[in-house]
Amino acid sequence: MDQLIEDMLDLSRATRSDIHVASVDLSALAITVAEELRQRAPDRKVTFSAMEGLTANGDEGQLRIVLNNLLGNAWKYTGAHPEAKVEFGITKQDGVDVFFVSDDGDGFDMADAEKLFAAFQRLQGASEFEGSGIGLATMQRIIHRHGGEIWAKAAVEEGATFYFTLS
Amino acid sequence: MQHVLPRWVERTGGADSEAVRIFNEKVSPIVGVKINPDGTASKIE
Repeated sequence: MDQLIEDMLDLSRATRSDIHVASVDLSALAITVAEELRQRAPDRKVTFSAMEGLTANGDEGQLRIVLNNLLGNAWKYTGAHPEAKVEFGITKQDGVDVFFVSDDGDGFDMADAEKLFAAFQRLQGASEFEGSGIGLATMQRIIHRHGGEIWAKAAVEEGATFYFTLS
Repeated sequence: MQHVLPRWVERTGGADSEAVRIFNEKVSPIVGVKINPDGTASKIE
């Protein structure tokens, strides 16, 4: 319970405080987060890759929350697979730089896509509701504060890719 | 859109717990959902 409360207070501080914009090495941040996830589950066989040299202007603490949530979800929803791949990178869509985190895990039905970023929404087929229930809502809030957008594409048992932009 | 409470609400003592009080005070304004005294959740504007 203490950790839960601490996480909520961290979230409140991080998302309501001023944004301190600086150049952030997202590749290094993603590698650090992935290493932390790996240390928490050393027996998992997850191949993680991150494109090198990806930077963005933003608040490092808040962008770390975003990558923590995205990569944490990727780790979580590949947990039932004996081996998994998780990737952080960048692509272009309509001429705009778009960061992404992809995995080859459980995925989800795109019919649930509109629920993804609302707090306390349970996806179809999920019998339980573990976790805080606010991770994606938090990420969306942070991305919007940075002038960006976040969305996802997925298919059941074919993995999920979360895309986000930063202004 | 119907909201479903995550298990941590029950684990921390239900809708009148300290965790829920902090959630409603600190997190609800961020995510736009509050936990009600009757154990339901609803959207806030």
